[in-house]
Amino acid sequence: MRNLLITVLLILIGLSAIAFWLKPGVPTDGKTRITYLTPITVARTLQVDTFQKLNPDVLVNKQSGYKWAELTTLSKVIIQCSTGVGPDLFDAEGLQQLQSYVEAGLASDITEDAKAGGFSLENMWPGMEKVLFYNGKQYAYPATTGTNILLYNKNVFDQFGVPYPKSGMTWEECFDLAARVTDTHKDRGHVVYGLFNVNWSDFFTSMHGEYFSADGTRILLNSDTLKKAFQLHRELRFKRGITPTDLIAKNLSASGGDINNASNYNLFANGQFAMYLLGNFSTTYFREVHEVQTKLLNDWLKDPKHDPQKKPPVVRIGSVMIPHFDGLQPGYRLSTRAVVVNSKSKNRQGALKYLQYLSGPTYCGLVVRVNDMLPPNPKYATYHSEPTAEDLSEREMFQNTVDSMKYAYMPVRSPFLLMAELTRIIADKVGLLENNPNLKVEDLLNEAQRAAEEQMQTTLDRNPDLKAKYESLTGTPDVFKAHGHVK
Amino acid sequence: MKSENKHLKIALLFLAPNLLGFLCFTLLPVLISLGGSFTTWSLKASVPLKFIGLHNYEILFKDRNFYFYFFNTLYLMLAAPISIAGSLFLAVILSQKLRFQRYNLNRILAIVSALFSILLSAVVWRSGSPNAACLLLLLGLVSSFGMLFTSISYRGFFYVPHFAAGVATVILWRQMYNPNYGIINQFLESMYHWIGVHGPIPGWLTSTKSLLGFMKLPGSQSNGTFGIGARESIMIMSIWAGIGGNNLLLYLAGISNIPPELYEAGDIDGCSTWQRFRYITWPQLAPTTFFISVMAIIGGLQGGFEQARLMTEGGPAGTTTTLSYYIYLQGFERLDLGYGSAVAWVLFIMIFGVTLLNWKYGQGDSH
Repeated sequence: MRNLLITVLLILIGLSAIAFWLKPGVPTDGKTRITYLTPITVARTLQVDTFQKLNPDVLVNKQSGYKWAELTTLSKVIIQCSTGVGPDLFDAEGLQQLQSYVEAGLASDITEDAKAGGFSLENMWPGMEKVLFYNGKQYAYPATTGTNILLYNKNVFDQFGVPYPKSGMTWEECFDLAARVTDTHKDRGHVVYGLFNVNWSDFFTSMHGEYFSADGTRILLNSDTLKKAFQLHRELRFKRGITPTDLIAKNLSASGGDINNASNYNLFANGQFAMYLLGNFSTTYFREVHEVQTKLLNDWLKDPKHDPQKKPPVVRIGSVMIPHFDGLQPGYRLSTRAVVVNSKSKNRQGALKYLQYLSGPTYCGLVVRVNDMLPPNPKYATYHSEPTAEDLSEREMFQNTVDSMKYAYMPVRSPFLLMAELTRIIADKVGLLENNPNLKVEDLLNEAQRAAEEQMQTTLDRNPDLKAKYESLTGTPDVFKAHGHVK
Repeated sequence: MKSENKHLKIALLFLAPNLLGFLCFTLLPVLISLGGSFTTWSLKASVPLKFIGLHNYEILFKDRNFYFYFFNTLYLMLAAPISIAGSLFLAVILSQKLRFQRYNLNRILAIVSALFSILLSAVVWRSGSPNAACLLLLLGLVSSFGMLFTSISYRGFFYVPHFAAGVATVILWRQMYNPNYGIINQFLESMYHWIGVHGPIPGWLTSTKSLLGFMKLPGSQSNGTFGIGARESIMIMSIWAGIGGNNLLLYLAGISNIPPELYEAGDIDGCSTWQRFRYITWPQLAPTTFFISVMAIIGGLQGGFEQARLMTEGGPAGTTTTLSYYIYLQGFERLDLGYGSAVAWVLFIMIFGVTLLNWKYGQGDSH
């Protein structure tokens, strides 16, 4: 037995030695290798490949960053980077993720490099300072930016004999239009919802809502703005019935021209949503859908026995800016996919080179060409490529996104409470509201407010400097007192 | 004496890799987390590391989320007794000789079953349901194997899900529960269509409904209405995974250790099948049941992480966040490792306490 065990041990040692010997060594070709955590899409592959051609001395290894804008990705990146195996570059959502990366010390301060490399504030869209800067320092440069716009399916409006949406309309006008093109009784073979992907946060930004007071000391979750936004969210789904609930949306099934497992894009393209709040980045998907649908139509036309009742649809898209509330200036959520340099990166120079590339004409031209939101540098936000399909009105989509940027804004973040924490608290309440519309919005938001205040107090108790700062601003280190609660 | 020392040295040499691994990767982190739970340990660079005594624990006992997630953890544990009972039931069946084996009919039946399933699945395939055809073929082949190679092959089949990694199983169930294209809702829709009714389509992982929805729960646990929601969906998955798993193996081993004389004596006394189980099998399996129960409680209190991380992200509305996932959220989303460690240690104390109670009051009965 002993001999057997000794033999096993020797074999294991031998195998370890072989593995060590086979381990790839440090490349000696003099090239810098950087890893980039980003969703791999057609657009991204083209962008990275172009960088590669322009910079043969830097090799970029793309890592698929599934669901990059979600909270689960946040913790994944934090764990990777904290343990020293993180990527050199990673994508971050501007509102909730970047703050956490900065607080965790994972986002590298690039202020000076950005100034020297020409990718600082003067080469960004107005308002980006609130997204990418933290305590006066720059921590990222955008890969893409923009706002959502309101896309509409012209086929649906034509079928119902309803005029197309117009730019500058109010939310009420939009709801009326949506009601006229909603048919949930399957009379047309499938249900049609007037409006999709419109939720409380769109109304909240339309009312220029803020989660925190200007100095970040007070939480405003039980504000009238958020109450109204939640009430509208519920009303559209359960009273007016012009927008499907999350569950209903997931239960809808698409027919014809189906790509990506009957995704919402396909539902829109097939006429099950008349209007859809979405960014112009969706063009890439609609091009594919359009191509498939055109092929189906051609096949149908070629078939001498085709059923005239079953003519396959080919999507025709129009777009306008998102509606506004009567008497209020429009307000849109500024979306940004920011690229961050890992503070622990051993290839910082290579990573910075990529950021510099993002601000240049080549990259920005590629973004415009594939309609991947807007390019980070507004100097190059000019549409001059040939649209692939007239039906998709790509130029119109691009222009509406550019025009919407005038009204785009980023809510105030607080140094006293992570946006990621606040997002989870709100998401929980939205989940409850969608599942039980009988719950009182006031109660939900009061609960959310209380939970957020407790979290903020815990944060202050952890950090004496932060607590002192809070006290200097509010006159008390007690968050509940600062919010006017009497113990 | 010299020989003993030599043996000890050799034993230590062989134990060393494992022991070193345990010390570096288990004991040391555990001790660090214990120390960390008394500090402000944070991933935030701006938070200084400071000893704060029991402050984390004080916050924890006032934390409503902690109680809600503890409630979720206990709720999900309700699947354990069903799963254990299922394992026992299955073990009793699988430990018996199949009736047809007594007459050497197994080969004929196996061939008939295989041919019938191939024929039936071909018909179903032709009628336009390839998925259902594959399922039928698989079931037919499994039963044929069982007939041919006795119940041992069934035991193997029931254990098959355990060969798959937990993550893969969780992802598989997430797809099955998808309200849009998941196989479960597709099946339900087909059934409704076939019967000609408009029945409810559950939201599964997207729903906050609960079987306790009829009860008035505290405000922080307000959860919608009565029905099957995300928690129940996870419980169904746990029952499926638990029935044919290690518990089944333990019960099978336990049953095989029961002296046959006891059954023979029972037969002489004219015991019915139920009486054989109630007065022989069940008491003889008491130590096994005790062990399985203890492990289920420990596993249940620690459980829910994979499901929350991969299926629901803890939602909807936090209904599937368990204490283990809460620890993760505290550490890597709120960046507060100190507080996360405190939650982990409270969880440990609970598990330890429950296990002690089990040992104290459970062992007597099991003997």
